[in-house]
Amino acid sequence: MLESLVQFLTEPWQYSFLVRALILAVLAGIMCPLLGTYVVARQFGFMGDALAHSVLPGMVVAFWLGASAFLGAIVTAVGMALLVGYLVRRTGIGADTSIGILFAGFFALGMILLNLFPTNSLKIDDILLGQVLAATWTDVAMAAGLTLVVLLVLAALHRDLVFVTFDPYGASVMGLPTRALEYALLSLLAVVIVLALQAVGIVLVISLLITPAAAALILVRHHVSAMGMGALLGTVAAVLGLYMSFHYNLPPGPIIALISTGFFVMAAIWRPQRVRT
Amino acid sequence: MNRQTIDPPAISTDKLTVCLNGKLILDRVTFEVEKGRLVGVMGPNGAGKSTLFDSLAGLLPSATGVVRYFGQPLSVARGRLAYVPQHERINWGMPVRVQDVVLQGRVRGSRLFRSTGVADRQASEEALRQADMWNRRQDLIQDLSTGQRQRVFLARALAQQADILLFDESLSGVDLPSHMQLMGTLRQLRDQGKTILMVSHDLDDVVDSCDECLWVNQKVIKR
Repeated sequence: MLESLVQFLTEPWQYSFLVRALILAVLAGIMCPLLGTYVVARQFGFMGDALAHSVLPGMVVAFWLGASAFLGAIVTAVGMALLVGYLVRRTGIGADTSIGILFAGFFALGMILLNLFPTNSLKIDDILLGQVLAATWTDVAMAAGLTLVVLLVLAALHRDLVFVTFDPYGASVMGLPTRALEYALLSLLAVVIVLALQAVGIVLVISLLITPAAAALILVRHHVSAMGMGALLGTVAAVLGLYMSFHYNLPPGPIIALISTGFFVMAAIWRPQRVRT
Repeated sequence: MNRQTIDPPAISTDKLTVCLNGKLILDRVTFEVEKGRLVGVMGPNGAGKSTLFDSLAGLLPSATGVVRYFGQPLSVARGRLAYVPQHERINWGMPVRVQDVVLQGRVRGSRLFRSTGVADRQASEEALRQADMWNRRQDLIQDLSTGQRQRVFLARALAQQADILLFDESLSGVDLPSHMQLMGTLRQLRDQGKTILMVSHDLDDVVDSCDECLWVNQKVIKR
């Protein structure tokens, strides 16, 4: 019994492609909820989804130029994030409308480019649903580097980001560079979404970004505690997802997303009772 | 008496004009508020009270005119100004503790890896005690009543050790005990030399507690 359990737990990690997948998925599972708590607090879920979809043209162009698709995705996502802010200020239309316009436009452009420059290495199914099992050590190294950068910037700006998220007007009066902080947060969000793309794909990235963070906010509520709890839930979802993918031959991206959703459902059912005094 | 030998007013505006989306909201508004005054700001809905506060706080650029604090521009006097925003301007979805909100009053400009020093902790403790919120410091602000939330923002302004308080949130919606407690604290602060401008929809408040009233309706008329 114990022997079979040990075999169940250790068998996947005999394969180096699964070790790479594990590292990548865990990094995404940690980083997405860290940013996700800000996304949930700002009710910014649509922006997260839009950023994920907007990376397609950047990936195709980067691949076509012989550069890293990862890098192309980051450049496009950051560009999209900055463009949304510019469009809102320039035209006065709502953020949701701006996001919707750019989201559809970028994704359509990506599909057209993919059609014009077809390649065997860049498959729409892999982009949409993730290809974590195909990750290379270069992908892992790049993801680890990005994780370090995002953690460093988040730590450096943490109190200012909390202030500007909670009370943007008060933060501005106190002399904080609120617009620069907004762009910094959007850029971090763009980087983390790209980091998660390989693990769960464009369609399901939102499941790692907001679902563990939303579940954590139900369970612990305070922002910093929710960041920690969200990262824990995201990590467990990533690890469990890869076990289930290996042992039951399931696609890793969707099963990670499904486990993440399961955590949210359990948190919603178990929701601690609170009394306002 | 020579004007240069006396203190400049805490707040002075000269022909302050503000437009929003091409519409004139404030038209050549000129007024002065002396140090240590509690001033009620009244006016009909849409008259420009919040626009005046936004302009005073530097949140809105003025088309023409100047605003000075103790004779200095906002860029110099920024740290001396505390701002209590309207309830609907706060993102209540962001779960922060009362103590964290009060510590926001200790923020001075942008800085990386911001930490909380001993002086910050002391100032926030004093402010929380003065606002009678010390026992709730570990609570999430979203779990408090409207009146308690107002007291937390008052504590933030106290922790900032500002000389001028702009209270853009009116006290309507605050329960009577909290209302009376807040007004009492504002009067105490006025007696300590702080200058306070507060939006009010309650004429009794202004008559009973304020030293003067600014009536806003495009132009400010001092009473």
